Amino acid sequence: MGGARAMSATLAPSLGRDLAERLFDRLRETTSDGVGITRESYGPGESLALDMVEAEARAQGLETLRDAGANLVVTLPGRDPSLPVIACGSHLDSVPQGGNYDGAAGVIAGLMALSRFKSEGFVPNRGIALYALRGEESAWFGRAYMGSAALFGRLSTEDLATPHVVNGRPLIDCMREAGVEVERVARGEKLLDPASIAAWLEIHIEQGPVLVARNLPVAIVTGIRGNIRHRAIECIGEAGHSGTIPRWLRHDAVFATAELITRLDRHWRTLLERGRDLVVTSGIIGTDPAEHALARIPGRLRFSMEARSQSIETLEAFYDLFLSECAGIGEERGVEFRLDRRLDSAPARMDEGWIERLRAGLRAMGLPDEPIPSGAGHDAAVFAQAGIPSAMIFIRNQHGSHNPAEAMEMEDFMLGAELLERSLRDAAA
Amino acid sequence: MSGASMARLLLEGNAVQVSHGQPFILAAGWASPAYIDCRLLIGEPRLRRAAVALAAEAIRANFAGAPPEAIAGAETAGIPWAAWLAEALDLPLRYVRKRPLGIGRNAQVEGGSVEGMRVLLVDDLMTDGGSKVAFTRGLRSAGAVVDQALCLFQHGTFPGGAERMEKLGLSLVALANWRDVLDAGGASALPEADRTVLERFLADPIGWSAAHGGRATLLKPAL
Repeated sequence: MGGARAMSATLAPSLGRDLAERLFDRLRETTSDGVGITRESYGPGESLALDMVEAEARAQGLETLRDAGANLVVTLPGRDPSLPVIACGSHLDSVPQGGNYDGAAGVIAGLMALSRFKSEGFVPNRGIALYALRGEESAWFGRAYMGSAALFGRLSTEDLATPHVVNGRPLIDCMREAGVEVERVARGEKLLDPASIAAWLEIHIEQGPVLVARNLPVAIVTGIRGNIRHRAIECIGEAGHSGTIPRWLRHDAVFATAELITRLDRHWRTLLERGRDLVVTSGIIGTDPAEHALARIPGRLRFSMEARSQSIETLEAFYDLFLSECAGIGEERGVEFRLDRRLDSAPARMDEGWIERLRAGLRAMGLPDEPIPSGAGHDAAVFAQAGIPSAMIFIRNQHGSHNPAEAMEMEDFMLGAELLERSLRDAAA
Repeated sequence: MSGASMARLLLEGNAVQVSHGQPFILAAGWASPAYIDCRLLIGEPRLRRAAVALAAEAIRANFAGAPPEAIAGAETAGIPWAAWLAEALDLPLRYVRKRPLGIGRNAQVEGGSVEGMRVLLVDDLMTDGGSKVAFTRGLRSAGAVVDQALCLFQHGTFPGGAERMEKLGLSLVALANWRDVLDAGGASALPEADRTVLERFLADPIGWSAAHGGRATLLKPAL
């Protein structure tokens, strides 16, 4: 026993990597669907993943429990239990046919750190908790961050009633089956007291191309972009014969929408030139196949619109431009843009103190410390919005995310995991 | 006087085009047998110098009581003319977009502030005044006092222009119009056949437009 511990101390670095590789491999084996990874929110794949991580944590001698949200919590108790704990982790569910690292990287990095501390006999002053959260992905119920939202009493009755996108069962039933205390969630009760968490540190793959393009293995996140969305805007013009109607008599819904998008693109470019953070996308667009035709001026077009930014001010300013262009083009071309309900998702700023600390940590490791925004949403946003100082560490990854080709280099992962471990050690000491 | 001079410059620069077949469809759908391209004058140093001199003289003569403090060129073709005029009159230069780009009071104006300044709007052409509305609003949003405008050529053939200028409170000086072109053009500059077509058009521009596949009425209100 003593011999094993001494050995584990000297071999600790490779043990950490071995542990990580072992867990990634076993997760991939057990939750692969043949094409990619499928760990359904509150479903069997996710539960298997939680069980696997729990088993490994116990094998490392760590204490584990399942909280009221059915999330896995791995703890390293501190000397002073009255102090708020440092929390780390991420989610363990995936999209259908997704990648193995989305979410799992954050959980495994946290487990590596806690295992190392345990094997060293390091007892921190304040406790450290690793969360393997359930239900982050919106792919299954159309609602993102269900697990973290449930922790802070933010799931509405509507949310709990949303149907599973395949089998139609309401979220509340699937949560109940997974062991969530749904009555408390339905009452909007906080399952976790924000005051009991000193900080939330989340490692996650970038899921984008920036770190690859900038040659950065790891980066610190400045904030998580919020968004304003319209799922279905209708441009109503007037249908007509494409050959007979002169330009000045047309109310062409496609040309009007094309002009709107072009103008918005120019505004976007200008705002970027002036230093604002913004991305704009129209992901769904089309004429009605039941009525469109080659020789028919389209009288109707439906499209989606989404703007994301770390700044609410930028979002609102861009939205004002959007509304004014809809009105202007509407008047000029004699069309109408009918907007459906506006959907908002608030941006979340990461904690300034933690950003500085993590950047200093990267510099101490001899790595570049460039900060970048997170375009994708994460549980860290929910923690931040609950008033918990939160931070994210991005790990470079290849081939994007939410697809089976999602990739991540172990060398990059190890750097991120090392930064997390150092930061946890310093903060909890 | 300046009308004839400006018209001669346009004819010399081959800026006047008359079609006997397919009409030109101008802004807002008006059909016209005639097209003026003032941009062709930009290319010729002698012609542009002469046009700028005429414009500067017109500004001094018409706006002596309240001289402009800055010249703003209407994008795009108005910008070079505004630049040469600003140089000739030793005045600050700005340019104004047709619509805002980005956010803020100055989203339509480039070149500096126009806050509280009397700004003279310069464009090469005027058809129905629609674009002048957009330019004036952009300048006023940025705090400029805009009640003076100048253009090299005013079509004057299609309705809405005068009403728009009045509603805007914009005093527009045009160096030349179609009448000036007809009066100035000798047989070599303006062939008889072209002259005939133009006379017919000028007698009833709306009717001509309707008869040649263009707009027949002013469907939208003036502003």
